[in-house]
Amino acid sequence: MPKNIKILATLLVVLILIIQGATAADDTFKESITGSSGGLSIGEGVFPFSLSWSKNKDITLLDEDEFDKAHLVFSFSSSVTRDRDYGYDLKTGSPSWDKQDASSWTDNNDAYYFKPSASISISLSQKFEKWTLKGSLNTKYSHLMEDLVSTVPSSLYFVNSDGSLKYNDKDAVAAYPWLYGERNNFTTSLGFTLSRSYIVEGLDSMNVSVGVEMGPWWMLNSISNGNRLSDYYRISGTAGESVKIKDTQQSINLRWLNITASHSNSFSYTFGKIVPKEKLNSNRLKGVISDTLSLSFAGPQLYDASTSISASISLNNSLYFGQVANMKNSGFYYSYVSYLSLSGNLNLFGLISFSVTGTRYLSQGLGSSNALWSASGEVYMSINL
Amino acid sequence: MKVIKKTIVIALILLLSFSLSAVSFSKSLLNVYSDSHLISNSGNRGYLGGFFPLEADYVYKVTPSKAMTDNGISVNLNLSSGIKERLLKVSPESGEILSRGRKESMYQVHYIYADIDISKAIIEEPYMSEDILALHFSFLADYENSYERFDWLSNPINNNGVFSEFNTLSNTFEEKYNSYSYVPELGGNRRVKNTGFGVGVVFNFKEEKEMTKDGIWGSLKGNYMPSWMPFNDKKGSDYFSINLNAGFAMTLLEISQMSFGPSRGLDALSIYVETEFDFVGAWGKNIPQMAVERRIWGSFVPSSHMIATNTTALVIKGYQIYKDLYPSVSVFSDMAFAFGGGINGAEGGTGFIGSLGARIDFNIFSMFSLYGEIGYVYKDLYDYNPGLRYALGAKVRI
Repeated sequence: MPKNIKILATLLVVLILIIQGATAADDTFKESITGSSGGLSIGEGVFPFSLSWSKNKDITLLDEDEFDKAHLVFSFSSSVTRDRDYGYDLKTGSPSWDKQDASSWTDNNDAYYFKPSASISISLSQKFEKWTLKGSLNTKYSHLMEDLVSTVPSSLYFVNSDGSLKYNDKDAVAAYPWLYGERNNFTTSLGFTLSRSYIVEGLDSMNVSVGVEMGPWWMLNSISNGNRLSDYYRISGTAGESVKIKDTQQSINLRWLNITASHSNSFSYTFGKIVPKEKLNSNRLKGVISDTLSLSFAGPQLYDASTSISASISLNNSLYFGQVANMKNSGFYYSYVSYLSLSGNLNLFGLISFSVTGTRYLSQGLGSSNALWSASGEVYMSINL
Repeated sequence: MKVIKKTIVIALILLLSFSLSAVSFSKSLLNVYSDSHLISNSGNRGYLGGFFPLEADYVYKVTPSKAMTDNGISVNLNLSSGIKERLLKVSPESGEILSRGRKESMYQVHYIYADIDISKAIIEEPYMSEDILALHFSFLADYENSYERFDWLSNPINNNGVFSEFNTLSNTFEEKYNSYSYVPELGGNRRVKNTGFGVGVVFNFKEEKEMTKDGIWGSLKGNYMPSWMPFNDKKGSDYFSINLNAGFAMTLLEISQMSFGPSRGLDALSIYVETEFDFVGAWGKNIPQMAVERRIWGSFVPSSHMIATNTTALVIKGYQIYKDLYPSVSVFSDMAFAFGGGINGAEGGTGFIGSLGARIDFNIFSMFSLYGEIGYVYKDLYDYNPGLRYALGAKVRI
């Protein structure tokens, strides 16, 4: 059976089952057009638009007198974006910060590729006495192509100037297997999360969650482009607390100023041979422990509740550790990254938002060649239903 | 880039002013539409990327307060964005009809079309969802970026591009055409924006339900897209056009299921017939392809100054398994007559094209539908061969 038909059949079965379960439920919809001064830009490449839609339904799984209803969510999203992966060593799969042999190096650090993608997922959550258990099944498809604005043969991402594919060597270590062959990439994963909220005197909220996730090869992760695109198991956990410092209203029932201080810790470690792109961090180390402290200002609502100004300042400290994902014979590495970020946002009528973010690295870790300062701005237009 | 950013800023300020002029603000989504052919030789969508829904068309609507509509006046901002495929029909350099294969002439267009539409109801009835007769005035703005088709982007060395080709000797991509005189919007960076005005009258006396369709509808609109408008760039438009549209539908048969139990209110079978005529005429110094872009099933219509099209279908729907869950079968005829010569002085001339076909469709909760189409294009564009075309596809409509 052709691969496309296999993938399609899988998607359709998932889709029809979910639609049957979610009939007559609530819809949420979001569509966006984004322009930004970094990476994506209106007029420079594609219009980077995305679409997401979800259907929600409450269903009874357990005794109604004792437990809340379970919540079923079916969601579909698609996007058309430009993306990139930094170069790596084809012999070992070692990343850019561990460049060992220039002759087998794929130097794509300045190039982008064009990525239409779509995903379908279903999740079911059930609240028990104190804990909430959530299970989700996720599918994702993307088809990578040359960048729309590439016109120089030497800047092509996937194709050599003799027409052969750059990423097609069966003996090479595929640090990024999604770049190989015809780049028809279909992956699935399954995840479970346990979460709980605590009531603590002096705090406005405190939440804890732990999760396990897997995307092993046997979950249809080897059928689409000739490579195993995913083969991993992951554990993760988060804990967060927040407290409102100030909360004042205008006389017309609109917010004047809300200041919230929050703190969170998280950890994750990924086991397995092939970690898919969306689970990789920038230096590709398999483990991370992070600490984030932030102060958020939600400013006055100007016209209605959907028109407002907000800003935040946050300090993030992360310790990356472990082996390098998707690398042959990797050693054990550490990387400490610390940065301070400032962001501002103006949202008009819930339709258009302007945002600006500035980041100052205090410690860059293994990616020390990056700029200490970075800034980006974005104009984001979205329709929500 | 600076000019584009300035344009975006001005456009956002205009949008903001428009929004602030409303006493209240509401928005609604008209349609999100995606249609992909899984297996196809019919040409209209088959090359766009297999089963992935790349050809999406979003239309949404923002409606200001009724405080502005007390006298039957309403103001809407309509926006649509998406990706579509277009056929390069003539050489941009010589204006001659291109005789190469259809696949080698397809390119993709990324677009945002916007209009601020002010309408005044002439005849309205409370039980009708739309005005029966209304006058319209619109401010129109279009923006398009054109690129090579997707399979060229998958391997630009081994595929022929529409605009450029790989030269193995110089190891470069070379532009195929030295000038784009006959298709001006494809010159330079292939990015174009047009602005202008539209006036028209819209008539609507139609009742469309899930299984039936009855009534008549029509519109007459004129658009003026002059070069002196502030947003028009040098490649932009300079033309006026007239669009005439008229349609008729009648339900021939509707048989209900037994009207009790779970099948209450459902139909066993319904049959209706519908036909729609469309005419567009465009004249001026610089007419973009979008102004006269028309298709029939399985083929494309020449970009001539005047184009008349008709589509007629007999639709059989049922058995209704559940609300919004039913199969349907239809037979259709598509025809187009292009005349008045090619736009911008290019070849195009007078020509008739037509197709006949049948479609089977399974509607799943009005969100997804799976369909198969087969048809015969008995008269095709230029020297393309008439023939049997087919398509298996899936639609997503939210």
